[in-house]
Amino acid sequence: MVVGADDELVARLVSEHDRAYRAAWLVLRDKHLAEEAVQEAFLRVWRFRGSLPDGDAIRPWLYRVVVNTSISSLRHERPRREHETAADVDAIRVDDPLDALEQASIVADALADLPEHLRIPIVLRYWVGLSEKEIATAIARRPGTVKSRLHEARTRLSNDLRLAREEA
Amino acid sequence: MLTEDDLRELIDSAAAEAPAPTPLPEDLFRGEPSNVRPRRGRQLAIAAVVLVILGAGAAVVPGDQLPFLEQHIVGTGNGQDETVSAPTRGYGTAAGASASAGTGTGVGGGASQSVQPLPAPPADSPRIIKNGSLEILVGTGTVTESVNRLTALATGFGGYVSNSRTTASEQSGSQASALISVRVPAAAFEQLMGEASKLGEVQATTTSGQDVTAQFVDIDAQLTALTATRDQFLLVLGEAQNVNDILAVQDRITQVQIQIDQLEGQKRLLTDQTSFGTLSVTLLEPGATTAVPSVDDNKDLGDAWQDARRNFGDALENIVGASGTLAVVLLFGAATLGAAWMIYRRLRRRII
Repeated sequence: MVVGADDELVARLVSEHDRAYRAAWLVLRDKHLAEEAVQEAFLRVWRFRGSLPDGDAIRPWLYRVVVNTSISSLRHERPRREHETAADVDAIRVDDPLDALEQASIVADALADLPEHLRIPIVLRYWVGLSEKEIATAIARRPGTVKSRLHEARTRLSNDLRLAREEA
Repeated sequence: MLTEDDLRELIDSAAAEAPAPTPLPEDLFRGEPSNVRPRRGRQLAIAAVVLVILGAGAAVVPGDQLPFLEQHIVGTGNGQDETVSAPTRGYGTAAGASASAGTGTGVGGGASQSVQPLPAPPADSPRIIKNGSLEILVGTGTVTESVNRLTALATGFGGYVSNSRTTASEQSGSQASALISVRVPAAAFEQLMGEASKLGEVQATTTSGQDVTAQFVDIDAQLTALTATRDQFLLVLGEAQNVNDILAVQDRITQVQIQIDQLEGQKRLLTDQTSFGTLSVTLLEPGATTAVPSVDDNKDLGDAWQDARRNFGDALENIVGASGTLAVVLLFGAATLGAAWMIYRRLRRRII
């Protein structure tokens, strides 16, 4: 069994698991893929625990690995997922009236429609709660790039959600 | 446009839509080793070694560009010359093959000397490639005898006949002329010329000496640098942990090993050329002309290919020499930047 610092890391990973899983789910929109991506990310973090930063600095690093494994999964599973997503959107628009509960699904769909380079900063900023600087660390881009991507993502999400409400 | 708070609330609600996750397996981290060196560190180590290779290549260029370029362009193309006991091509008597005398146009034969151990010159002595030629008028009917005496001389000095050809006089049937090339240890070269001159009346003589000491030094320096680089790659290979890394490092090792092999081939060739001097002797009876075709006329396709490659290398050397050191620096700078860019792309490929 692991002891000392390893115990702290395990405790931290366990406490972060739910948030990391839901972040991966927002990116992947698939329970099993999200679970696999997070487990793979946690295993990578564990293997490299000897070179991890201390304290809260671990979070951007941790989500960088989660982003990497999620993107790998996304690109590997893209053909199948594109088909499933289209079917889901049609079902919502044709069969079901809009209510408060389904708004969450529409938001999730709008997020899924964003390209990766906009979707991931949004998830890291508004779900995980990372700062722009931490997101820059997580996706290996400059803070200015993160800021412009967040702005563009917010604009596109606003337009998509407004259109969805109008259609409903 | 959505405010940040609105967006946070909406995304919270979207995240809540996710099915509940399966708890982490209790034994997820059990038995997993710790990789102290992170992946990026390993890649940076590989990148550093690549840059060392390019740097080593660039470092040897300014001092003397020609040998370095020749290494890459000419390569080991002269490998056939590395064989010391090259048999005679096509015609003529061989060492001690007096039986061919009087057989009209010389046929068969061959200077099938055994491989001579190369007397390596001292490491700090000048490395000179010695060549010479003699045209000697001998008495009527004594060409064959002169060939045998010359062969005996070469053998006595520890050398051998590398090529020979004789032609007969149409009237008498005796040998009218002969061309024989002998190779002797460089230290005995002048002595052989002196003894050979006594075979008859010397009509013409030429000698040349090419100093290749600088090429030796350059090759040794490159071999040292490349061997160190290869050893570093082998260390990196020992730490590689996935197939991609292993293949990448093996590819680098192969490239370095090829360069090492080429340089060692060049060194062996130069060692042979400097260890043995080559003397071409034309023996003529009175009234005979130099109808004996030059040994060089027997070039085969391989020789032509070597010449073409050598000339191409010379032409490129001239271009580089004319454009100056700046062109070489730019060339290696571009190669370094290219390698760095590829490594950078590899490191960033999985980041959005």
